[in-house]
Amino acid sequence: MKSKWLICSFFLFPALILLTIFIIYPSLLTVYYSLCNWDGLTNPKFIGLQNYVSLFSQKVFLAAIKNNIIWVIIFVPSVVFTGFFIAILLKNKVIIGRNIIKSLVFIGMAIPMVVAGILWMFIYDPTAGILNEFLKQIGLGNLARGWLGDSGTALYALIFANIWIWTGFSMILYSAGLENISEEINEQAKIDGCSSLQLFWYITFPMLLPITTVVIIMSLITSIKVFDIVYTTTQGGPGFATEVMAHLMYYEIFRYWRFGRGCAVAVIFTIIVIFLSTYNIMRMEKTE
Amino acid sequence: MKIKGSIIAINIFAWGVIGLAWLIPILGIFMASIRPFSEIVSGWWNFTELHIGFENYSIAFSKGMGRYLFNTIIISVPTTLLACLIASLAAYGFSRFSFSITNIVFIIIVFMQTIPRQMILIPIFTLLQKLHLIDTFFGIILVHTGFELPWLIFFLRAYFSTMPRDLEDAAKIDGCGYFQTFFRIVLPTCIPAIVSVASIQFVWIWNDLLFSLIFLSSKATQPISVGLTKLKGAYYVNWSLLSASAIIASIIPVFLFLLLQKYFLKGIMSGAIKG
Repeated sequence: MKSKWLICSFFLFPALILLTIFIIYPSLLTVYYSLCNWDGLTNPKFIGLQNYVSLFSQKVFLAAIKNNIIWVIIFVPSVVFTGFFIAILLKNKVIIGRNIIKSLVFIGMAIPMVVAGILWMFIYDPTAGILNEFLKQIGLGNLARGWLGDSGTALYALIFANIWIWTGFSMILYSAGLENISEEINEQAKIDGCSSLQLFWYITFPMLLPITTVVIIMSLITSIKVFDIVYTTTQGGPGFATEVMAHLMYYEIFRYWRFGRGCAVAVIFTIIVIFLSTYNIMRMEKTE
Repeated sequence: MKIKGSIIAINIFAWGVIGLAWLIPILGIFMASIRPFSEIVSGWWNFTELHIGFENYSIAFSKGMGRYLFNTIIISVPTTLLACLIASLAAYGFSRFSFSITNIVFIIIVFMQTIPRQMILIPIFTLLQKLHLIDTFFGIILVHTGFELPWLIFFLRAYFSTMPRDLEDAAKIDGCGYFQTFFRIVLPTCIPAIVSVASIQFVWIWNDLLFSLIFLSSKATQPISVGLTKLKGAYYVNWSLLSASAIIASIIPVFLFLLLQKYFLKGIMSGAIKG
């Protein structure tokens, strides 16, 4: 028994050391710092919940929360819908080169987020961008603008770009789900007189429900954590038009050296993300 | 005839709408990267003047893209190997030994997956400063490895748990110790699972921006994701140069994805619960 203990701890030891140093210890420290007034140079001074209180009276933080909420409202249903729709469409064996289309859609997940940001900046560019050209061609030239420089459109332009990136992820999950629905069930249902609409509603749709839950939670988490694309393209501007929580935290810390307040943003942010992921984990544990 | 019409329609829709929506952005930067900036400044779709060449790529390399590319490889290859090795050791430990304390520790690790990067940034920043590991390859490799461990352990433990133990038992009877059994019998048989997680892991590290932005500060260590953001000018953007650099940054992850597609997709589905 004792020797088994020893062997087991040898297997676990390297991982536990790294996890303690790089996850547990810093997470606890971040919670403590969020209760301190600290500029990163002098000693942190404990001030209780003041950072949190001052955050909620700050315009830029409220703007960031509002933008994150808008992001969730548009991004989540769109990713679910586009992924689901493309997966169903590409199930049609008559489409020539459907696997090429699949890989193409998925490429958004393989390229660096920074590259995806550049790609879309190029599309939205007022003169060299193809979006304005497209609008001109279809007679909507009066809508042409610098999409990311206009505070009315910048946020939506970024959300749209993010949908383009993440559709591949949801499509792949749905395609895998569709493959798991056996042909026999479909055949049987057809013999029993199911119309294709009924087939979709009573068989395909319910069987894909667990996948839909995963896609919803994943896209919720990504829309709350969004950072790379904002940093690459607009850096939160113009004004606070595209400011989001993750980017604001970076700004508070590495531009203004307000470490305490930055940590407070991180804690709020983490609570939301953990809350959302816990459900997902419970479900995974059950299926395992 | 009616059926044929619908087949054509569905093909036109699939390629003309979905295919184009994903092709055009990529085609755009590709065209911009192989043509001089003066030609594409009014649109890469204008072909009245057409000069194709790879000057933008050589300019990109002269602006340091080669160095950034080298740094990215130096960071992501060891990180992937180290993280997979440590995680598979731990995952094996968790799957083969069951004490009440290890079970509790495992549940804690499961929840660690959900902690976002932002939560650990500042304490690690100060820790690395104290250890003089800021702006070093060693520092960022350790941070990445530590941070990616939870989901790797989670995925690999699930895999090890489903593996039959007959072979291991036989090896033990033949006098193999636990570690010998692990390295000689267990690891070689679960290469597909490790390739799945390693490929996705590699691409994630390759594409990382946040950690690199904060823990690395000089051109000698920064990866290509940071290099790209620095290349973008504040007032005007040279789209040709930026496009060429973006393509340089994407070739390896995209190639890896196409090569290991099957494994890659399995990996991304297992990573689907990461926070």
